[in-house]
Amino acid sequence: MKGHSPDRAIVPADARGSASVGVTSGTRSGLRGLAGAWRAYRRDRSSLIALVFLLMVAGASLLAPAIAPHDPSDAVTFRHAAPMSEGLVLGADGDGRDVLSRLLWGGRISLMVAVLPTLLALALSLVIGIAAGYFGRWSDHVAMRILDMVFAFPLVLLAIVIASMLSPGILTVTVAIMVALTPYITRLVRTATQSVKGLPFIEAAHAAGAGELAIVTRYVLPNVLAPALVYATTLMGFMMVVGAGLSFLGLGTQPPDADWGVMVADGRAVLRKAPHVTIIPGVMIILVSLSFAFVGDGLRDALDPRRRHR
Amino acid sequence: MGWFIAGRLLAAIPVLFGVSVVVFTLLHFAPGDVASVLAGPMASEAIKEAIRESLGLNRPLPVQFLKWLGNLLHGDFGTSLVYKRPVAEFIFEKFFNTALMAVSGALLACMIGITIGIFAASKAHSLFDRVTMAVTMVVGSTPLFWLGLILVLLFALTWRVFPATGMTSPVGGGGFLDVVRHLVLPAVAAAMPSAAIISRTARACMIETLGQNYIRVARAKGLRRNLILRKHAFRNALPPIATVCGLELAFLLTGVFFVEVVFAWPGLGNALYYAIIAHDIPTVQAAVLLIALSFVVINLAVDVLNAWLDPRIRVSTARQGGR
Amino acid sequence: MSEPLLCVEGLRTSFHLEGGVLRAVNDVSFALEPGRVLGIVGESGSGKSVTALSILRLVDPPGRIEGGRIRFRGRDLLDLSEAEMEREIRGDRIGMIFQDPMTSLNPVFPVGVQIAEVVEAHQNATREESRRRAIELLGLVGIPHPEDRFSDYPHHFSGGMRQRVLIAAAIASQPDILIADEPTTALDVTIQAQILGLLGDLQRRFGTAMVLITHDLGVIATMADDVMVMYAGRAVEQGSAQDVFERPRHPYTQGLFDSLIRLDDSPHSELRPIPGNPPVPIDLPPGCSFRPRCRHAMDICGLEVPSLLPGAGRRRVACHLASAQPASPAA
Ligand SMILES: Nc1ncnc2c1ncn2[C@@H]1O[C@H](COP(=O)(O)OP(=O)(O)O)[C@@H](O)[C@H]1O
Ligand SMILES: [Mg+2]
Repeated sequence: MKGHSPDRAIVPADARGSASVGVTSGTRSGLRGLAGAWRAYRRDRSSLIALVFLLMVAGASLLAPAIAPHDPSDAVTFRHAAPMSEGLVLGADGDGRDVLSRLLWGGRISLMVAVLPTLLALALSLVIGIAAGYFGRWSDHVAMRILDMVFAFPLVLLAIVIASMLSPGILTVTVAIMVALTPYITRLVRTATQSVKGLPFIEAAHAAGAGELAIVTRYVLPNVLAPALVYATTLMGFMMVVGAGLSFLGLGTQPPDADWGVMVADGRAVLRKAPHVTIIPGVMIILVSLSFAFVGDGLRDALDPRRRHR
Repeated sequence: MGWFIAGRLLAAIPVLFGVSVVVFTLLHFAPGDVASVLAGPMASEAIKEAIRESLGLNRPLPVQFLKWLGNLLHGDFGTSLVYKRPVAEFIFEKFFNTALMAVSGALLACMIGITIGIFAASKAHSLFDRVTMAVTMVVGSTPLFWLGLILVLLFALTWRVFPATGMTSPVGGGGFLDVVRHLVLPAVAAAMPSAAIISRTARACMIETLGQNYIRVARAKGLRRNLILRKHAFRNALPPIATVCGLELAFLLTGVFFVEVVFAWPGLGNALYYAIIAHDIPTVQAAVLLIALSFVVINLAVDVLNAWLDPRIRVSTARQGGR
Repeated sequence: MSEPLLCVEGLRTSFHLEGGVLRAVNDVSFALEPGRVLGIVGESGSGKSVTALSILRLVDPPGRIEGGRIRFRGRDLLDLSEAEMEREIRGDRIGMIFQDPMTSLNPVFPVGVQIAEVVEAHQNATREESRRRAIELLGLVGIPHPEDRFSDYPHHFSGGMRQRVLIAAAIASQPDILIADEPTTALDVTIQAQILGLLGDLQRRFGTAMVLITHDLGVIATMADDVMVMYAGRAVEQGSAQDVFERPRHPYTQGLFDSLIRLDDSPHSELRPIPGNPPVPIDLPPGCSFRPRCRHAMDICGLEVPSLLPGAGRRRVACHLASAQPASPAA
């Protein structure tokens, strides 16, 4: 059953390109040819720029305690909706808080919400997906029927419902996104596992007397990891948007913490008077989310042995 | 074809059952005690217990579920804890309002997206193609709530062309034109990211189709370029495009959630939003169920449409049926 | 000798690829007279298809027609607008059928529609007239119960039947020329003979001139009046089929025939006879492209491209050996 909607996250790829599974010609080395992959990745300029941009944003956010010019939750009345000026590079919001400092601190949460739940979902999906795809039979059946049911819920709705069940906060958003995302990555891992399973070197390993666990970790996992990682990277951008949306609704990050979604929500009150308060965090969300998409694209090309030598 | 549809309908039944199980259990464990909400903060434990008793909340879970499901099938969604009214009395109107916005958004998105996609594909790698594809990429990753605010800023606050909020009830109220006036901004906000995604898909599928042998044959037959684009290429690229349009319509059913909150549109999303905040479990359950149900129905419709678009399925089963 | 219907002069078509310029058709000239069949032979990749596509101006970027003239009934097709090509040439005066019938029909339209649309496009016919004409054409190409099959979809047809449908669409406007690019390569051997028979019948019956592309010398022997042998984008030998078959003069043509004699038990032998492979025509070294595989290679062959010299009658050969000794070189 076609579910919505991480398929939708793959904006830059042609249609749903990234979601397709690129394991038709498995290799024994899997991810091992990292140097070659990096060389291939470097060649695509837009992916490289996106990666540099992401690293810069991540670095600045990590260094927020050191480089933020002000306390992000320091509400100074006379700075109310202040425009951009020398002391306040990006101005201040309706409560007189420094936008730049909030942006830096908020970046920590927004980036974390994009990356952490996706990685957790990836790990979970690898376990479930490989178990279903490799050991098959009833575990496969059960897993797939459950997934079918989850696919009946749009991802955003599921995340909202899960988030609403728990008390609002960063942890809640993380759990909600992770749970909502796992079915999608699992589906991809399962398909990839099934196609690797039929390749000759698996049979050769069997014939050589390798145990199932060794086969899974040495041969299946490396080959499945590449497409799953690409997919997960592309999803990170989408999850940044979803996470910000949950925060915008008040189901995510709670004061005094603020992520970029909260900042957009805060901007609503002074939308007319100080539009920059709304615009700036939104632009950051877009740029970072696009960058993840580009990095995912670049990774896909770099990790695909068929495309590497073009 | 008939068999195909019947098969899909049958397959949807367990999914729907599963959906109701998921909704029931998820919300059963939701925070907030129904009894305390109903009884108010000052009520004694005994009163709460009595309420639980009367609502059947202390019976075993499966029993509660079956009772809930049975009520659902009779159109009884329970009583809203906030409005103290049967949920069924107001939820369908909210659903209609949401559908109105999601469908107009999706129609807008399809029209814009498909037109751009075809045009870009027919001039692949031209300046127009590259510029529109860059723009669609950015718009496609734009959060709906932010886009909504930007439209409000531009068209409601700065230029004062359209109202930002103020829609209370599309039915009755100020009449058709009033509805349209209030619908424009939220529908456009909802449509833009979807239009971007549809246009990218349409372009990719059209380019792929234009590379097929039968297109070269059509050109060798001397058919006009326009006819080839509209008839031969588009008709073949249509199934994946229709699939994406369906996905986007389904997406909008929840995507408008954000738009509804921004524009204070009296839809399901808004109702769900306030119900969540107020821990109004029956309303949440009803809203989630309705959205999931429409999601399943849309997916089903797309499957059927695609089968119908493919003569290999449509014609061969029709023939078997005829004999 | 009548006035030629189609006269191609110095045609050059190249593909501008990342690795360089691929000269797929390099200075090719030939003439086609009304009602005659010109066979073009050559190994795969020698530029036969690109030659055919160039005539209809169907070469897509990165490919480009870069030089030459294609005279058809007194006009140079390279001067016509795209709209004129669509309206007056493609499918109207010049029809074309392709190699792969399995993918040449649009899967979502009934076969009859795909014939009728040609009639509609070129003959100002109403829907009903074009429908009747399409049914007539289906009958003409040997499809039983054409009336019933009109609205069947391509997936109900076998490869051979599909090629018949495509032939019907190509001759719907009674063209002056039919270009058939390896029309039977993708089909079963038994079907191949039927399709070729059909093409021959139609060609004789309507007096259509035909460009028949193949890599099957047996087909040329039975069907062609004239022959052009292509190698690496160039015509290496041209002449009447009888002449070329009796006295092949280019070492490449000779090689083709030698292999045919060796493999005599299989009349439809494919052309893989001469050791080595033809070069991909990107950045070719100077001289004759066939030199590395030639039994008679001389010093001059590495220096100069042999020009296509006229011989007796319409005979032309591009070989330094032939210009040195006008008699049979292989003897
Ligand atoms: N669309 C294309 N892009 C790049 N090269 C092409 C294209 N079409 C043909 N070629 C090249 O042009 C040369 C001639 O091809 P073609 O005419 O198809 O050969 P033939 O029909 O004789 O087998 C070949 O080297 C082929 O690789
Ligand atoms: Mg060819």
